[in-house]
Amino acid sequence: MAICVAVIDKDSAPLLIECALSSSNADERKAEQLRLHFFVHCALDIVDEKLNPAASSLTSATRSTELRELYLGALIANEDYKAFGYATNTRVKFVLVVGAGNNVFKDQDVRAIFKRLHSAYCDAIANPFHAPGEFLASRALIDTARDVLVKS
Amino acid sequence: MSAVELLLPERLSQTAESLGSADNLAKSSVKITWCGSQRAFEICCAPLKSAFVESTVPWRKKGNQFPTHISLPLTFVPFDSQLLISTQPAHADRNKLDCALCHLYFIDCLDVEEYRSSVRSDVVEWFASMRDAGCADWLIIVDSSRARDNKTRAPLIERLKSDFAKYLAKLIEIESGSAGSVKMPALIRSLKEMLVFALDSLIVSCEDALQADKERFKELDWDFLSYVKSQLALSDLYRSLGLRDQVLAQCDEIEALLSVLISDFGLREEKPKWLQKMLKTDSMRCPSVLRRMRNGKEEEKEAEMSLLDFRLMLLSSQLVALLDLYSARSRAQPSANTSRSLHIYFCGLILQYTHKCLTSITDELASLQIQWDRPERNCWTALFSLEVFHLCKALCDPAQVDSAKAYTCRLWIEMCKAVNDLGDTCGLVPGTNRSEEQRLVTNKLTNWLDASADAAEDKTDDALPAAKLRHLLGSQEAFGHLMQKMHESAMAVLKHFSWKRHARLLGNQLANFLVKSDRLEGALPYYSKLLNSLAKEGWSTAYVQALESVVTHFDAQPDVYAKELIDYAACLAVDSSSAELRRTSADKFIRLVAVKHSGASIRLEHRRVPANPFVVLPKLVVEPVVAIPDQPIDCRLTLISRFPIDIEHVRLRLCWRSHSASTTQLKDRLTQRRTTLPRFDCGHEAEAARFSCVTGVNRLLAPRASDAVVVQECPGVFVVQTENESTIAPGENNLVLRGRADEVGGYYPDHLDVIIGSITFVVDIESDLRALPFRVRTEPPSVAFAPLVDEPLGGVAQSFSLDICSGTDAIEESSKLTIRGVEGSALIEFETENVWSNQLVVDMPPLKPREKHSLKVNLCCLLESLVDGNAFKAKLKVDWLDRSWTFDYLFNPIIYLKATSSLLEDKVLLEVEVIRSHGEGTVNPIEATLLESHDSSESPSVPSKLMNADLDPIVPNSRHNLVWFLSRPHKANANPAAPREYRLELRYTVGDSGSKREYRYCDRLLLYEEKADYELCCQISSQQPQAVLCRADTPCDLVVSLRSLRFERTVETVLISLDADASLWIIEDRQKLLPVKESGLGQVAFSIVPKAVGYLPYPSIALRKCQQKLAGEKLEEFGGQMRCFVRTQGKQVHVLSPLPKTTAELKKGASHLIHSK
Repeated sequence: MAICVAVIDKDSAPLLIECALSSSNADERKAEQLRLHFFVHCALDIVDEKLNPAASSLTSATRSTELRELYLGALIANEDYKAFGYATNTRVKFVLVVGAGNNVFKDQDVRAIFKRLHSAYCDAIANPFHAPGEFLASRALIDTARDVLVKS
Repeated sequence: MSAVELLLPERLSQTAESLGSADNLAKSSVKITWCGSQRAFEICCAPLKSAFVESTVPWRKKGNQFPTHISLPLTFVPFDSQLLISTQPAHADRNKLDCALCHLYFIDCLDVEEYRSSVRSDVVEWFASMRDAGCADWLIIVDSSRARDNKTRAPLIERLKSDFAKYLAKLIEIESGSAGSVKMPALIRSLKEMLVFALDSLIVSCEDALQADKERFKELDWDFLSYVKSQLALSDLYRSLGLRDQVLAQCDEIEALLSVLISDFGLREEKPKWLQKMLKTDSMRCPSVLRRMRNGKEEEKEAEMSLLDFRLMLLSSQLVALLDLYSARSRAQPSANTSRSLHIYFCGLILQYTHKCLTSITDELASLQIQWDRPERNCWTALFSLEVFHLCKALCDPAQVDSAKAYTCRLWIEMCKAVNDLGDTCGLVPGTNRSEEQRLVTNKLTNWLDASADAAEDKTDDALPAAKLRHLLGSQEAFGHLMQKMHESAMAVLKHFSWKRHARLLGNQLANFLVKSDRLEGALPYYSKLLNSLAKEGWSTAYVQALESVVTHFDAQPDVYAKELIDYAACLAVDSSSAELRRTSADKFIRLVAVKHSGASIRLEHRRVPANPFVVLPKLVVEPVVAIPDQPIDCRLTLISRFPIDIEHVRLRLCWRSHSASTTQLKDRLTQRRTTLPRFDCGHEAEAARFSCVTGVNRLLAPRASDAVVVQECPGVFVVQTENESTIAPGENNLVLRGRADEVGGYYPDHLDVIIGSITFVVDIESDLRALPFRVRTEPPSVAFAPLVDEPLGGVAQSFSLDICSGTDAIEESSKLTIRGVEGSALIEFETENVWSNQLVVDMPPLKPREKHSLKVNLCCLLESLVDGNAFKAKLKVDWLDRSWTFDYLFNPIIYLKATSSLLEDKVLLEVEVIRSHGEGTVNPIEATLLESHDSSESPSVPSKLMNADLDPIVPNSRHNLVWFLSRPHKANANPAAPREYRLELRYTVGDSGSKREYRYCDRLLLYEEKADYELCCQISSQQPQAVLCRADTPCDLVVSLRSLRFERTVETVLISLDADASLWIIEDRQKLLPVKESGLGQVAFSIVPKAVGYLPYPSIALRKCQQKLAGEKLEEFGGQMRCFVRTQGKQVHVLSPLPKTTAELKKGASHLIHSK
């Protein structure tokens, strides 16, 4: 099961973070939420690295392949979580966090989840009343994110 | 000096080369058995070994396209039938890799007799063993040197050939000299060929067996460890052959297979036996990778091992293979540049392999739910990372390996986390008391390290990381020192690789450790950095939650973190999830802002995180919308306070910014902040074939108040503020701010300063409000002049409105305003107290600023002479205070006139048609006179006789004719061609008959009295026989008779042309030529058809000259019009209705209708 879904704008500010917290105690939930937020926040280091590879470290062919691919693959893992990344052409990032021992997710499953989130995000920002850069309050997007957390 | 260097010696004596050297590797070589003559073997052994060591052999592995060169280090062992590679089923389970590849029998006989008596039986027995095992890899080597000396070589060789007649190729003769030299090229060649063949067969056989074994992986009783051992044995063979790449590939293959198997079986309930055995033990026998690398073969002999041990054993095998490869390549490429790149490359590979191992262990611990003892795990992680860095340091600094930065960073992070957890678990935080339980845990870990690695006694560098770690577990001070150094080193590396967020999070971890160590002053900068980072990137939830846990630490240094304390208190008072914390933070905020700070006031500028506690609703009202300089301005706004309590003594200051910045300072700031930054970043990336348009979100939202500090002091900015200190209650607050603007310009609200004691919150204004229209401007005196009706009329008095405004400046003295018509346009008369003049002068009193003055102006635009019905333009000019205004208006004539004259012999009639077209109201003619103008010396003019003296009112949209009878000139010397001038005067009133205002229209008429050339007379008669009257639709004849009125009659041809309304008459031929005879008479008939019934007017007739064609001239159709008098002009003819159709015609018509349908 996915634990956290985050939509991050091009300036690395969160637009939406939905977490599936396992604890029942309020303090523990808070601590777990903070851990997840920090984990997603730190995962952006790897996202930035993948989106802005050093010129010397990649050949032009590799770079163009990297740029064309929106799915960034596995980002980072620790003993509790592992994160997958996806970045749109406008540098909006999606991060999916699953448990460290979760081997259910295959690559194609994660890609499908990201495509679904991307589509919901596009619908959300098509709302003319949405100001770019503001937190996403789209009910449809939030429902999609929660659906990913529950069903995946 | 980094933390790793603290733990490691300055000089790494145990280098990677030593770990990967041949001595450290399993001794493996190609095994060959020998049998027979000891002397001959001893003569051949050394030369054979050296010959194979010095040269390589080309070998093409099955499935490979190209051969590889392998080395064949030989080992000779005495013959044993157990070393035969058997093809027999009874010997199939024997490990082929332990068998010998080739078997040699040495014969050293003096003659045939000796051979027969002592050797033959032995060699036959040896040969039988070969034959029984199905082995073909054997050679019989005959040293014939002694027989040659005895001259018995030939019979001996012959006898051998006869005994082994079928295997002559396997009989190799060598010659050894007296000094121990030996000539055996044939032996070497044959042995190489045989070994390559045997090796090929062996490897193919082994790989097939391994493949077959691997395919049983789904069986629950399949032994994975046995398979791995076979793989590793094969890899040893590869290593002995010098195929180091192949060795590493074998290890990788095992690692990949293990990952796949665990991923597959981990999810199943029923697990294979080998996995169950691995999961039974949840500990690690030896945590040291370096130790395992050295003692790898001993590990492999273990019958059972845990998954963790297996992973580490596999990693050690990979690292050994890697270092072996490195050693071989570094020997092959000794140059400095190549060596450096080789170091970096292999360092990256080591980091990659170790990272993979760490990740796999972490994943498998989680997925298989292995409960590994937490302190042991942390201890292992720390030791593992230290050892990896130790190993890497032998090659190069891992921070230089860009290609492996992710692995390096991950190892640093894991190591720091493990060490930090160890500190907590073992009570190693300086200044804290260690509990008995913590001591026990520490002792257990120390013993684990000691027992597994023998670190205390081992003098090699491999043991140093373990020994150092063991030492640290016993000392709080050393641990504290290490902890800080390690985190600082880790943060430096992470920052070097641009993992800044991870670095800040490690800083937070270090700060927590420092707080626990009672070193708060060192911790606060790390907390502050993390919070600033979260705030900068807009992570509000994480910011607030992190703040809640650390905010109390900042109270220790209120002077250093004064601004932060206020900011944090405000943030928690607004956004904390705990109501209690919100209230206490609000109280704290009130206390903090009441403190007078020594420095300048603190400004908390707008940013997304933490959110501003104040919000301005988009309901800002400003009065007046257009102000003049120095005029009081009121702004009413609604401020929302998100504080849970009332905030007293608040002053508000709303800064307005000019649309057109006038100061250099403001321009510079605007240039930096807005102008140069595009709203969108668009670009085409050719390599990706992609065009992207990225929104600059921050620029759109423009959190711009950060430049307010400077801007509000600029001349282009003015401020409105509260007059007194206010109390801001939670929720909405309606406030009024007042101020004055000095400079002219358009302004928009920029930001609101909420000043509470020593702190100022800069509240951004909604972008919608920036479109609020507000201007400060100066207005000059203005004049507006407009008619009171939509369409002013000429020829009648009209009322206009004159609106005068003084502008924004007072007019302190009286002035005169003049209105007049502009020369060249229509004449206009103005009324002043019932007196009409061509200009109007108005005396203006002194006026206050913005004072308006209006008055009504009556004017009359005079009608043009014999105007047509179109509107005519009149231009007015107003002069006031040395300024001029010009106004253009279109006047529609209330009446217009058309004059025609009729002459016949001595009589002249002048007909003036008065057309009432525009506007409403009746025009009442009072008198119409026509006087002939002439010199005043002569007798006074006599008015012409008006034929219709009774003048009727002319209602709108009607015409009225005035007809004068004019007398003919009676003077003998008067020129008949000269025009006669008349003066027409029409007096009239407009509107009701009781209207007192009388208008007079005067005009001059020039009348030409030329005699007519011909008199025309027309008559219409029906073409029907015996018919008198015309009928509609029946052709008629129009007979035109002409009579010349000239005194001298001439013969000429004239053109008679007809014209008529097409709805009344159809004229077949419109023109006809008419020759005038000498008598001056002529007549012509036209065929016309009346189309209407009743009295129809005669068609109009015109007379034209008929041009004569001259040679070379183009003949125009008509000549000039001739003057004529039409006697029947105005006459009408009575047209009857058409005759009824006959019955036959009706039937014909009906039939036609039916057919047409």
